[in-house]
Amino acid sequence: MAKPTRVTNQIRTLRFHADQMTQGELADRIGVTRQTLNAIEQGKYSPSLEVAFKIARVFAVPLEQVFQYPDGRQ
Amino acid sequence: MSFQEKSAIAMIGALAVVCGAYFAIVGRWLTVAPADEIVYQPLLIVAIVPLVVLAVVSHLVIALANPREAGAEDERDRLIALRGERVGGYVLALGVFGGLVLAMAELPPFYIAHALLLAWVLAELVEGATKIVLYRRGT
Repeated sequence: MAKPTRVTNQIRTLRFHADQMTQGELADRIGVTRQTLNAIEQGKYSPSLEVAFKIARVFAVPLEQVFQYPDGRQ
Repeated sequence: MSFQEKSAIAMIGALAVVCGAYFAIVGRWLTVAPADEIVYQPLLIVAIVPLVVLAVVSHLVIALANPREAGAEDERDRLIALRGERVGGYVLALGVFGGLVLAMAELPPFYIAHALLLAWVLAELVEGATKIVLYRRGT
């Protein structure tokens, strides 16, 4: 089955470099459940723009450092 | 598993048990008496009690098992709920149409009532199953 989204992300890496922040900790800070954050990390769910910005803000990086979208048309 | 996913599973279970039992009992009555002589109304009203009790108890257990996540709902839960309700809505509409056909064919009210009840039960089950699939597979 195809992945529901082509968006990829670096959240796991960013968490690791942020003092090994847990999924639960990050989820609390951006106001989603731990399960939703896990779904985002696994590419099973594309978050709203608002949540995406919140994640980038937690790590103090630009949005494109957190989320990437492949070049080229499908 | 999130609170809302566990909630969907609990509701499917409660509905399947209670409504399954109801349809089994009424189905047995139908084998011994004609439809327009069956007094199903008291059983249908009484069946609501175990359904509510099961729903409340299961949600209580889910909440107590993980109090921190009890009732938690975010944008993904709301999106999954909406998609589940949409799929369930199609089933319900189809069932209502079926009930209408039975009414136009002037079948006993027993059949019309149960076609509508079955449509609602199936719609709820499909809604819950859709939510679970979306939680597992991704949205």
